[in-house]
Amino acid sequence: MSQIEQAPLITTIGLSKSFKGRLVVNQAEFVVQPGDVFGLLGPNGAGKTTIIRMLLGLVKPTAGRAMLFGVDIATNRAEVLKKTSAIVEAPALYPHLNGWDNLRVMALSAGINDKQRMAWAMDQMGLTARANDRFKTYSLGMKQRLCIAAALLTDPQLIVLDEPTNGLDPAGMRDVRELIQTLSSQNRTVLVSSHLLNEVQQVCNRVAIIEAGRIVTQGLVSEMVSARSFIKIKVQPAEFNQAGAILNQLPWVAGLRQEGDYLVVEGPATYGAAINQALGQAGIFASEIIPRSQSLEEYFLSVTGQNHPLAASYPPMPVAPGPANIYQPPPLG
Amino acid sequence: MLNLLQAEILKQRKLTFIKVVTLAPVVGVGILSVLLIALKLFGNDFGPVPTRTGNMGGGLIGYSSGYILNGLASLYSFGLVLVAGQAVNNEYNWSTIKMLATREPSRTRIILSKALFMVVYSLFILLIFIGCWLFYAFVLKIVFNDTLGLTEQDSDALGRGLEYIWPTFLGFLVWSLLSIALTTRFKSVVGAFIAFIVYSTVDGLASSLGVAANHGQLDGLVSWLKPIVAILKIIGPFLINTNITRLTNNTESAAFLSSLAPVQSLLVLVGWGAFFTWLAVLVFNRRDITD
Repeated sequence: MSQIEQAPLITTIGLSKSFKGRLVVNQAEFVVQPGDVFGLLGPNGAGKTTIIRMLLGLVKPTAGRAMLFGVDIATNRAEVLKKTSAIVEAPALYPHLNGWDNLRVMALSAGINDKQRMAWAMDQMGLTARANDRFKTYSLGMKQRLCIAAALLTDPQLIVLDEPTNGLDPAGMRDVRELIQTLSSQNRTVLVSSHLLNEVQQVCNRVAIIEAGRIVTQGLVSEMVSARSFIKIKVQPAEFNQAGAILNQLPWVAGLRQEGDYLVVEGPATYGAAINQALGQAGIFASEIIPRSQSLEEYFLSVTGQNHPLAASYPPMPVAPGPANIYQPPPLG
Repeated sequence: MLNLLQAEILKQRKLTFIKVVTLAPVVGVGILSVLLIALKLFGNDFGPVPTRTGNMGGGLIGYSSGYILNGLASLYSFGLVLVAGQAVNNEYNWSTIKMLATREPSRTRIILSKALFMVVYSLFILLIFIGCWLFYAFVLKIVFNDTLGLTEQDSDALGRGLEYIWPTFLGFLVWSLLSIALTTRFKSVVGAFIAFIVYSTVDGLASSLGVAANHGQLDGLVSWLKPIVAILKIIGPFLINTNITRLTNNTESAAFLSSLAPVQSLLVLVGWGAFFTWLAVLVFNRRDITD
């Protein structure tokens, strides 16, 4: 069965929460499919953690519902949490206990008394050598890993990680990325919240962007980053107009402009070869063809109204005059 | 539920605070015993066996119960309240409450495991005190050159001591369950402790006045106080301190003892314990966990 045919693993319907009259989450609706590595993206204070708390039954929604595994967390809490493990905000376990005892406490709390499973989880997270050290002596990354080891004890189908890279150094961030990829490869669904967009772009296949308590947009990361992509082509200045006319006739070209020595073709970044072929047939040979997609961060900024030019890293160039039809982007869609 | 209890014991037993509270009577009695024996070995004459008698009985077992059970153990009213408060408060302080609340066991079971832990811990401390009491009595028998076997007087004091100590600890357990409810409410041991002091003081005062009212000792009060006396007469038998006093037989008033059946007192205390636990569950179940 393909992912699309499967029932969603998480569905939120008009999920809202207000604290003391202040609306923190406003009508949040998103869908997580089984097998997704789903990112909940937004700046600090956007409402990500509150959404996660509502999904896990830590906080009761003011309005709306959160359905996990097809049932409402509000009415089927035990059924949902049986298949779910979560780390909400900072990794928290008992500071006075060592790693092994912490794992035992969490195992017993989940009704498990299987020492082999505990040893496996400890080993999976590379903590066996530090099992007898107290939790409070662990680094943040190790604490994170021990919490994930505790999460793995129940063999969960859904793992929720709230800001898992917060406070980690680059090596720790890489470890978490690899860990999420490992969890995903084990056919687990991972919901991860973060404000670090580049991190999310590297691990998530689907994201929802939240700002000021509202879901602004959601979808596949691949579609988001390719939504605004372009190809820069360097041709002889004398060939600009001819090249422009040819490229403008390509059905997938969404826009065309000149930036200095380059023609910038707005459209899928993967069509470099098609451009090369079209120009080559007219005897124009580009000396450079540079594909570029926007990053998730650029997409985020564009949908949250903090737009800045896609090519901000390049010096803005005046648009050279030319045939009107070349510079008029064809209607989208 | 047993798994949760086991987890709770594992969490608590390695806490320094719990270790101190648990071992304090053992260490205290141990040091005292070593000193007494050392004095004896260095030739100190302790004189004749003390003859103090009272509610706790005579002989050295009765004598030692005056210090260990009436004295030292009474401090554990606060000790158990603090342990219970810490058991809840630490989960908030360490943010582990989120980990617990996102596991399969319901919030009700999380609170029940804390309550169950307090039942087990109270029983454990009770046994420690009984052990300390008997050990101290044994040491006293040595230093006073008393017969080491059980005399008739000793047996009587043993019965009285046991009859006193178990309801005392039942009362402590009830207060500790109140402490769980209060700490769940206030998310602070200090706040819960202050609330406990206020509550237990009001209960103690109302209990004393209730007993007095029910035995006609407040009949001579001015007329505008009569409605309050009437209320005290009704609620008096259902207050915690009234029933602890009844079960421990720790009163000279025969009229009071005959006015309340021990089974009724036991049921009232169990009822209060259940009520406080229910209160904690109610508060915890309704709470948004945002810590």
